Amino acid sequence: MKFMEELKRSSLLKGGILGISLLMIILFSSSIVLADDEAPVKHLFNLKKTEDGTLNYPADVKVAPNGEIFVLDTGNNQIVVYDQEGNYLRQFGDGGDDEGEVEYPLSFAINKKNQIYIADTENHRVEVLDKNGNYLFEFGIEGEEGDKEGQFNRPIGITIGNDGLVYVSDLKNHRIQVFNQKGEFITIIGEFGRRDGQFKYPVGLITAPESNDLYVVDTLNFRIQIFEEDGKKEWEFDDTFGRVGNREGSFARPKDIAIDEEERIYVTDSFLGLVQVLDDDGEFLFKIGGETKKPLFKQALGIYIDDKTNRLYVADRGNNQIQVYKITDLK
Amino acid sequence: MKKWIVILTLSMLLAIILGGQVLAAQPKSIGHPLNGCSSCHVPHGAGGDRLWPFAPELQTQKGTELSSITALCYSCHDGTITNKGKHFFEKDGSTHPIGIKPSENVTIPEGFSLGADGKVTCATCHNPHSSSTESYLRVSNKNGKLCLSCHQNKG
Repeated sequence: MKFMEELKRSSLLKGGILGISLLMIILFSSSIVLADDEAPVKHLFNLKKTEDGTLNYPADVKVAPNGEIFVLDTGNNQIVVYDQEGNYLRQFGDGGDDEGEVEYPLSFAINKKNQIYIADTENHRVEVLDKNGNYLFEFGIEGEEGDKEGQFNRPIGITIGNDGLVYVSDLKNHRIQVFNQKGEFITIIGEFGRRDGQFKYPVGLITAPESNDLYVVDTLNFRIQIFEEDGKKEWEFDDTFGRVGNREGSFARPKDIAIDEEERIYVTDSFLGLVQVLDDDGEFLFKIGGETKKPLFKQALGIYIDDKTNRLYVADRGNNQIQVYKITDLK
Repeated sequence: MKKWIVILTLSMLLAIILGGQVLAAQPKSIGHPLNGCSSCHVPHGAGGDRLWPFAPELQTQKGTELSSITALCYSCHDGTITNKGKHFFEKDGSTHPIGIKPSENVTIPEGFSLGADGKVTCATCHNPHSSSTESYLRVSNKNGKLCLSCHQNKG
């Protein structure tokens, strides 16, 4: 009773209670997230079979303009091709460093002519093949590791931007290199370090559909970094988000990235075994996977969104398969 | 004037001593040439124990269960951040089996850790924090010394 009388009298007390209530609401609401079963994705099928067996630690997956699904079958040093229903079509490639061969490649990209640019990781080069595996050309000085311009040390990520330029994560040089589609060197972005614009083992990368800004998974800095092109083939650091941890909005081993048409950012985390989806400021939206018992993914690595069909493809390496989903809240 | 010189000198000395202590607190050798402690330990923002606590279960290709410490090692040693060691997971431990319990012929010396389930992990032979040997082995394997550390009866 005495308290109620105090409350009526004191505006400070009222204000304090209101303030604390608001704070509680804000804190509580920021921890409300969609449960796994509310993630707007529907599993369609898995890709697993090859002509003579199964995929072997596939690292990446892409859909070509012609609609064929290409899978980088890393452990078998080959590429396997499927149709949109998941039926096997063909495969090509072999282990080695000759033309048409690869050595543990970890990423690839496909241009508008259905030509495949492979980050041929242990051969320290980018190799370009046509959609049937015929060798076209390569770049990376002599296929040897090195740190000169145009030389690579374990190239691990590759993407082709809306501008037609080829961006390569040069992992052990802790930098991104930019080329045109003929493999002619344009520029280097970044160097080793923790500051803005520096990297520690950058892995996956992609350009945003609308802006063509470059998003890089800066893996052992546990963050995503965003770069803008200034119109003169120079890239400036723009923004970054992410921190080390296993909570929402944090990363353990972020590896690859995809962006959907609503600019939602999908990041695979190969330790936590999940795809984490964030907005452009790095705020958590939802996740797919991440269970500790019977995990949905085992070392999810490559991730790709086909904006023609709004399908999400995830390289589920440890299960030797590609998981294919439809993003249900997009057309 | 003298008073100010004394105060300034004492302040500088204090700054040097305190600054030195802060610097000394940083580990000089952090083992892996990575991001220091937070590559594997989550001091803040963790949901539990001192390492990443919520590792999804992991098996080798043949189905051998691996511990969460091994899963942590594999998160880089899976052929991505480094190509060293991936054969352990992809070919069931080609140099030495992991995820197995030591037999009775084997004595694990102190300092060689087993996982919580008593099984061999990466950290049984490797010390990720510091080492004077190649590949962060706890003991150099020259003349089989590492092997003989456990396999004294050659069992």
